[in-house]
Amino acid sequence: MSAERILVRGTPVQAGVIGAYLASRWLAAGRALELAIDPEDNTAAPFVTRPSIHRLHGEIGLPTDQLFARCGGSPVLAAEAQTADGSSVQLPFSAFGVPRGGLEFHQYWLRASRLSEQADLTEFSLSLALQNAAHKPPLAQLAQLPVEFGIAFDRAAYGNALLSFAKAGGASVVESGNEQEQDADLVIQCSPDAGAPKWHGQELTIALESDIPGLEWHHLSSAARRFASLAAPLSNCAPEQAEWTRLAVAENERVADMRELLSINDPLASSRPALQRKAEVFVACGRIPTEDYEVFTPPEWLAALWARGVRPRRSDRMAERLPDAQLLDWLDQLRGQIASLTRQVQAA
Amino acid sequence: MTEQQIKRVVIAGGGTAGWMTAAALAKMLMPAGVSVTLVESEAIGTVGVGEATIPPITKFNTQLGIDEHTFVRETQATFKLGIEFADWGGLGERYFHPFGRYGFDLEGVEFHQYWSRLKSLGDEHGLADYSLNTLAAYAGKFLRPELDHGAVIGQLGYAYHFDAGLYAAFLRRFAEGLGVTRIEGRIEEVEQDSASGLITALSLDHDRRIEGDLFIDCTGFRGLLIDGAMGSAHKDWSHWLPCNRAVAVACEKQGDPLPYTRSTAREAGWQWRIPLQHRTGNGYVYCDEHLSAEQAEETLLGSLDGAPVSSPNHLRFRTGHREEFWVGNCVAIGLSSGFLEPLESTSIHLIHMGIAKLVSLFPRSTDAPVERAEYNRLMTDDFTHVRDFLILHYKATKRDDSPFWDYVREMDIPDSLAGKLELLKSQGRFFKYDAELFDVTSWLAVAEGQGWGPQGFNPIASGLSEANLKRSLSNMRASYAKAAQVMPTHQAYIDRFCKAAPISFATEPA
Ligand SMILES: Cc1cc2nc3c(=O)[nH]c(=O)nc-3n(C[C@H](O)[C@H](O)[C@H](O)COP(=O)(O)OP(=O)(O)OC[C@H]3O[C@@H](n4cnc5c(N)ncnc54)[C@H](O)[C@@H]3O)c2cc1C
Repeated sequence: MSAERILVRGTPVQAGVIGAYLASRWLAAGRALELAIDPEDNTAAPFVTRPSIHRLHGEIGLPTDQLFARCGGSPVLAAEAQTADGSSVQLPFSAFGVPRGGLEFHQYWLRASRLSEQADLTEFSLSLALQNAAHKPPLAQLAQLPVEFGIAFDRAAYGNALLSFAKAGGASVVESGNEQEQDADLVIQCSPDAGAPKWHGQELTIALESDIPGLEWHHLSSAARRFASLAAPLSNCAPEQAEWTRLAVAENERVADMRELLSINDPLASSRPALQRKAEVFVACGRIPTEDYEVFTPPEWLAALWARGVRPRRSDRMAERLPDAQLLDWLDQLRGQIASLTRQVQAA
Repeated sequence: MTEQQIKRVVIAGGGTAGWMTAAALAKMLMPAGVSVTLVESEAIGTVGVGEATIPPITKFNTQLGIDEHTFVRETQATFKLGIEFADWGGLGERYFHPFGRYGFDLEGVEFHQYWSRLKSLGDEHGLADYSLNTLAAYAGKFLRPELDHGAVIGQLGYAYHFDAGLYAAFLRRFAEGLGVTRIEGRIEEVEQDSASGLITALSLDHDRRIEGDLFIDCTGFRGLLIDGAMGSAHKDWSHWLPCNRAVAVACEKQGDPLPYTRSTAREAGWQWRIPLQHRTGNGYVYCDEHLSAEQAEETLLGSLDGAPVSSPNHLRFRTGHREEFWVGNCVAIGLSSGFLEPLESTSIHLIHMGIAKLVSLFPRSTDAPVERAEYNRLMTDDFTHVRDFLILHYKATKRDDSPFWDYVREMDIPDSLAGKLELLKSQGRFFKYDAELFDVTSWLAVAEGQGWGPQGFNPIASGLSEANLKRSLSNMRASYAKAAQVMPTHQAYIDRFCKAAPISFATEPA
């Protein structure tokens, strides 16, 4: 009998992500990993991953390009989320425009828009231009461009591919109901209904949220990665359990901030201190303060604040170092470059 | 007084903090229409210490466009690859805190996990064998890593040791060249608007008055503006870091300068040794509850490499920071904002952080409550992270040879540190806060060096077969040893690129 045994419960894609990672990074002699699959995954939506997918695939040796081809992959340069008023907002994974002299692009945009009317800030995002183009560029071409991207997969196909990978790595895969729960040292539960993530006693619960595309992927992959990097003997791991839970809860707080930003009318009046601070500092000077363990990148926060109508009162003083005419020229050129790059990519 | 546009910045004080701030604001904000004036008093002088730095200073210089070799030459600087700690974990022990990382990660698993596994198999090679910084430092070598030097030499991290007085003078020339106005004079009064409490002007001797919109308090421990005028309280951390005094003295150098700082634990504190091109800086940081100033001076003078070239400078300090670093239209940077003993050479770095945050949150008008709150929050975090790392040095000790060491060994530590240490000790797990200065290399160096290193390893590191593990780590050791061997000596590097003009101490004021 194995000295340590982990049982993972979830849909194919959920157990697949955890299983593939643990099979590669945790499984070893004296250890067993069983994946109990709930085949009833009625979710029709594709499984959207964030840019961290490239690192994760690299870490465990999964061939991204092959999976992309086999599992109906499509690049994702921005996640699309719904706001309270029913509209949708695109959260790009890469910066708007390009930074200059250590200052973010939107500070220059703010200043330019006071000098003369400017196209909306979103027009300066290469990520959004490519995301909204009729045809997405192939992976190899995207990798050459200055943009971060995730991949949307066909949920069932990607789940099955990951399960096969886990199996090849030594995990056993059974249908839910046929698992051997009694001798598991740890049960990892992928649960969309769990309130909060927690590793306590012999149960580790990953609280899955899927209202923002890519979140489900994020929760699964970071839970697995964090577990593997903390993994201690399962019979004696109280500090590791506490640390796993602390980090996962901290990340969930940042997600809750984003969810609230998308859903309340006045982010400045939010009762969530970190969100309120983000909104206030942004209004005061156009900076977006980050907290420890952020999930969303600064461009995503910028897009969300922007979409909710939060606007800085002023631009950064350093944006004034550029003479007016030079600033306006630069913005024109940038827009032109984004348009021509998007055209080129379409034509290729 | 109504809300006022910020066009005129007045910096009070011309020590390291004042001139670093002046140089940075001149570079970043003068082109945007902000004027910078600095007031200092030669009669009052500067604290005269603060000569060892950490690697981010190289970024500060680069951002300013300062040529490194010119800077090294003009400040009698040497290069610093890390800090040697002697007698900290126990009497007779020593270890090195390197500025470059340990080893290479393999298969996405952190190097130190493999090292721990190899150790568990009975291998006796220490972390130092996988650190180019440590090997080069002990061999007296230095080379500035360039892009084409490859991955091993590319790991070398470095900072500087410099003459504090020459550094302030260097930055002064630089800042004045960019258009900063310097005013020599003694600040006698800080004028405030009676309604808003905002500072309106500094009154100087000889009936002079300097008006401004934003005032930076760089007046050192005095905190003339932030404490005196704005009344920002001091948050005291002396129960965790009880040293509260120092005595400093420079001595003649003996032989070539070593490319590292040495910190030797003493009966009631510790002693620094900072090698410069023209002299060696020394000091004893201690707790006056356990040692008198005379005893400290005697210990210091009795353990110098060469004859003293200055008279001992006795200093008092309080460990902690301002509750608010930015109040109204006054921002405290440098010693006026708080102080953490120089065990890891972090004060100049905290000045750098204060400046960077001020530039990034630079207000348009005097009414900037949000920018102010954010600045205060971020600086508090920076001080707290550094504090925890410093406490580790005292807590992780076996020393029981004096009441001072008994106190620090037994003291309670902040929860933030306790949690981190538990994880680090169990299996080398380390999760850094996003804005934390010291990374896993630093924590590991000190914890392992003082006997609190990882007792186990992450099972992920079992992925490599024992034979492969041994081969990989042996190859790594060989690469580091070879790289250290081919590097030029520190002195040869200085001679070739940045040798300073000799200084005669006969002409230096005592
Ligand atoms: C013992 C010790 C060792 C240290 N070692 C290190 C180290 O190795 N590394 C490190 O990074 N840091 C170190 N530090 C900290 C470092 O010395 C300071 O951070 C740095 O020198 C900045 O000091 P400052 O400019 O804030 O203050 P100061 O150097 O004290 O400058 C204050 C300025 O204000 C002016 N001033 C004051 N009052 C008036 C007035 N009324 N009118 C006009 N001008 C006035 C003075 O003339 C002076 O120009 C050490 C500190 C101590 C105490």
